[in-house]
Amino acid sequence: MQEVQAIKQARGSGPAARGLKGAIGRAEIPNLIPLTSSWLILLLIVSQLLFVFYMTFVPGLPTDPGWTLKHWTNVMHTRMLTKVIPNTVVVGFGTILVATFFALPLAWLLNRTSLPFRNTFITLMAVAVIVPGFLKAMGWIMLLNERIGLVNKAIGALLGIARIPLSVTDNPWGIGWVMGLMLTPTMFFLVSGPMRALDPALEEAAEVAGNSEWSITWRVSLPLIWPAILAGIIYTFMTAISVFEVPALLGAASGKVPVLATELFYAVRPSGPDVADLAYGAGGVYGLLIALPSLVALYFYLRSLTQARRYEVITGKAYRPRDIDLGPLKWLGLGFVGLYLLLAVILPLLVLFWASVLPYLQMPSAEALSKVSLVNYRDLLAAIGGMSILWNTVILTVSVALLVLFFSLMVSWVVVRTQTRFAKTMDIIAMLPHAIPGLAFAFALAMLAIFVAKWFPSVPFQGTLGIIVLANVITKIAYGTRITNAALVQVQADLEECAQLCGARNLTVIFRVLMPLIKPSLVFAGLWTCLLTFREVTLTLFLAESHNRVLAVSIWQLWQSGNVGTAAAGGVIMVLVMSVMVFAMLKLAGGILIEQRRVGLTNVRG
Amino acid sequence: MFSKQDNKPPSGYVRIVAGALLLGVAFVPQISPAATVNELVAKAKQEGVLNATVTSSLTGKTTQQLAAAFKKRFGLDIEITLTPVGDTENYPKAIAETRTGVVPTYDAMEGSETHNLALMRVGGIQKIDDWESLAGGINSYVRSGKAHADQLSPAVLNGFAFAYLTRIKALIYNPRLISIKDLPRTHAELADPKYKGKWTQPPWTTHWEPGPMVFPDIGKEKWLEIVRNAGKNAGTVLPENPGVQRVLLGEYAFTPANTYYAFQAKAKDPQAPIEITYFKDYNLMTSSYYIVRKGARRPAGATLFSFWMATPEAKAIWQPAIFVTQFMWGESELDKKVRQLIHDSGAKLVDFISTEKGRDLLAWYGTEEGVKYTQSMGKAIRGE
Repeated sequence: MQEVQAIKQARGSGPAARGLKGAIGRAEIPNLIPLTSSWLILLLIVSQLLFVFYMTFVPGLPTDPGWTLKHWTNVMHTRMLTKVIPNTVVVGFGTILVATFFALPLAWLLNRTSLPFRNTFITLMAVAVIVPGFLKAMGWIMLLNERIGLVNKAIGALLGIARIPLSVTDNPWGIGWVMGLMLTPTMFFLVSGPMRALDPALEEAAEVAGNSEWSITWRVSLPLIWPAILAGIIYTFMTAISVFEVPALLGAASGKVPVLATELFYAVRPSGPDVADLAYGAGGVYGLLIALPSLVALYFYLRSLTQARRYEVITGKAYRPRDIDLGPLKWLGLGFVGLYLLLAVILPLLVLFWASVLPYLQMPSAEALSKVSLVNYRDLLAAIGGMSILWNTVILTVSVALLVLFFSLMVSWVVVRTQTRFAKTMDIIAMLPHAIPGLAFAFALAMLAIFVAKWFPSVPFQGTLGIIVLANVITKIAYGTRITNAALVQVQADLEECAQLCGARNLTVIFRVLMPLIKPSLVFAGLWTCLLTFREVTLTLFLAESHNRVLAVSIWQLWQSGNVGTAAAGGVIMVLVMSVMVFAMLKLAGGILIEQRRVGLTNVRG
Repeated sequence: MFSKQDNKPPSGYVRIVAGALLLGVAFVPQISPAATVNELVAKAKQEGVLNATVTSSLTGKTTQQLAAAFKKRFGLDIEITLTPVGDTENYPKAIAETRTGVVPTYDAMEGSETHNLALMRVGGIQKIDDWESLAGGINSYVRSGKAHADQLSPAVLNGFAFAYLTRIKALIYNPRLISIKDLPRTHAELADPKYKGKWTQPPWTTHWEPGPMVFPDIGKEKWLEIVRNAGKNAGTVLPENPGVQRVLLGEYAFTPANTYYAFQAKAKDPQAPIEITYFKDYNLMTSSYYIVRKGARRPAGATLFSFWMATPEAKAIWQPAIFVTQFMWGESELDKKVRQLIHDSGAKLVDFISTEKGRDLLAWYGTEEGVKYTQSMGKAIRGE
């Protein structure tokens, strides 16, 4: 310990750098890469945010002369306070309630127990993400709707009532229910990594002290992964209030249940699609308004991180994750997993498949069954734009996932491991892009691309995959850093200090000590980033041109042009391909976990 | 001056006049349509590449067919990229490109009259001189006189934008839920309480915009009140395609929308529960136009493509994919069918381009007062 203290003294006051100033000093050269990478991505985020903010005071384009407050004054109306914000809050909290109700037990069941078919279930959770939101919303309209809902009709027939007033449309709780089911996998994946990495020694100690399994879960396991849960809640809330397509389809666009995301749409295009000049500034104002509640939530999250040591569960001593045997209760667990998968995966997938084999979307009936065919699958590749679209999609998802992982790890390492006074600021900046709707970033990047084309015409940026990769890295870094933050918080710094003691540099420590220890979290983060990028439409659509088009945009355009069947067929193929990929990655992650248990810890102990 | 027998002008005079005429002809830079097209083809070959947009509903397969047919028509061996893109996403970027002085991304683009007028105002569209000759040289509809110059490039867009298809808005309904006789006949009837919650309408104002032109006596504020009452009466507000799907599903009985959604559904399944009826007061007709971007890298190929997209051979490829017509001059089965439907129903079609009143209203919608009015209309649609 004296030697560790000596290192601390040599470095100022901690295991790593103390601020930027220290980092660039001669003794801290090894910190240069993490710090430089972190600041690079964070400055990029800040510059884009500033640009969005600047645009809220500009009448039109950034080159336009003069200043205006009209974008701000236009949104400050009574309806905003009495209707829009309350609805948004209800939708946000409703989503969190539903998502938390399902995600936490699922994460525990599928990561910490001996429940059978876990990898298959996790694959299905990932599949839920791929199914486009608009199809999920359509599926729930077919299920729960006062006029046509299948569930309503079944209950009505059972009770002998003509009309059952139960609907997911035109009420914020209905929107919250659908969004909650939709965003459960988000929270599940955010919590899964840390859940897998929990040190069972602490649970065993509680068990020895006479606590029951439930008491241990409630009083030991859950508090230990609290930062990950909080991160999940905040992330889910922020996502819920910025999603447009689902609330819009469920009634928010009608003005009956207006939420901030739908108001943003109307503010940007006040008169619909025939408006040629977009209100970039109005988009920025709504983007910042949507960010406000997220910032409040972020404050509480950061407060929980100040006591990071309380959550260290991977230590140098006896770290052995283990699975809990559920015994006969496994049937209850299977039932719970089955219920969620039925509601959030199987039903939407059935709707997706149903839509893909019909000429147009219709309610199940004998007549509809007679029209089932595979015609929508014929020439699907040509319909989506050929192989180049698929190739672009692969490049985009893989490069975004790798870049997000790299930058997330660098940022988290600086935030969690160093005592730089900018740590909190850096973490807030990393989280901010998720609070701002993607459309605002898309505007900013589209403008940036135009200026790059003007000032540096030889630099290929506009219309390239690079601009879409950059947009996705900026908007997905919030998710990546939530996972890497939570994962790093769980790893006791002693392990790195030991490595440093043996002469390892910081980069060696990160790549050879930290990364193997948090590999499950990294795999989840990478996988999830891939999926989020894969299905991202809003950002990509706005930045897409001739040569950077990807699958999600093609499928969206098929849907928009009325080719619902072909779009659904594309969705089914997307789901199948991604399922295979997810399953393979989970096998890999499982292998990593087993290997980590077998080898990694022996090294630590040794 | 001339005696009877000297009725013929003197030969010297004839020679002078003839010489002058010949000289005049020689100095007027007139080139025959064929020659102009050939020149453009030669230039397009030199350009080697063409980057154009097509309407977003044209899928990959159709764009490949269009590119192949275009190359074959003009004997071009060039690289063509046709990108399906919505004008809503594309035009704001094109306007920003023009205003910042950047070379345009696309050489040729397609979009509505409103979008093109906006791009024209900032100087983003290349005017094509002698476009009538070119159109005649390329398009058999023009050569045969079926398509008139004022239809192809109407006054306000003359020489800048060239129509290639026409969309007509009407009422699309599910006959299993409501019979044609029970449907609203006018836009104002959409506010009738008997339709409360039974229909959906798109969030954009296009459907309601002609009101002040069709009913000048009502007044703009009164019209806004009608829109608001209808908005309060609607079941929900959805973009046209999701709205039509909800009608097909049986959730809503009818929706005002572009008629091609119904033709599309019927083409996939003739038994699909969807029909079209036209409003008795007015039905809006809008066109899509091709333009050549000012400062385009490949203006020759772009010009050829812009005129070619309106030809029968191009339409034979795009029409079966998107079910939109060339209502004013087209000769396909669908074109004729739509004309017949409108004729039989006695529907009144209106547009913003062909009349002075329409152009005035369109210009007014572009003013600050007009923008505020359409913003209020957007809110009224949502019942606010």
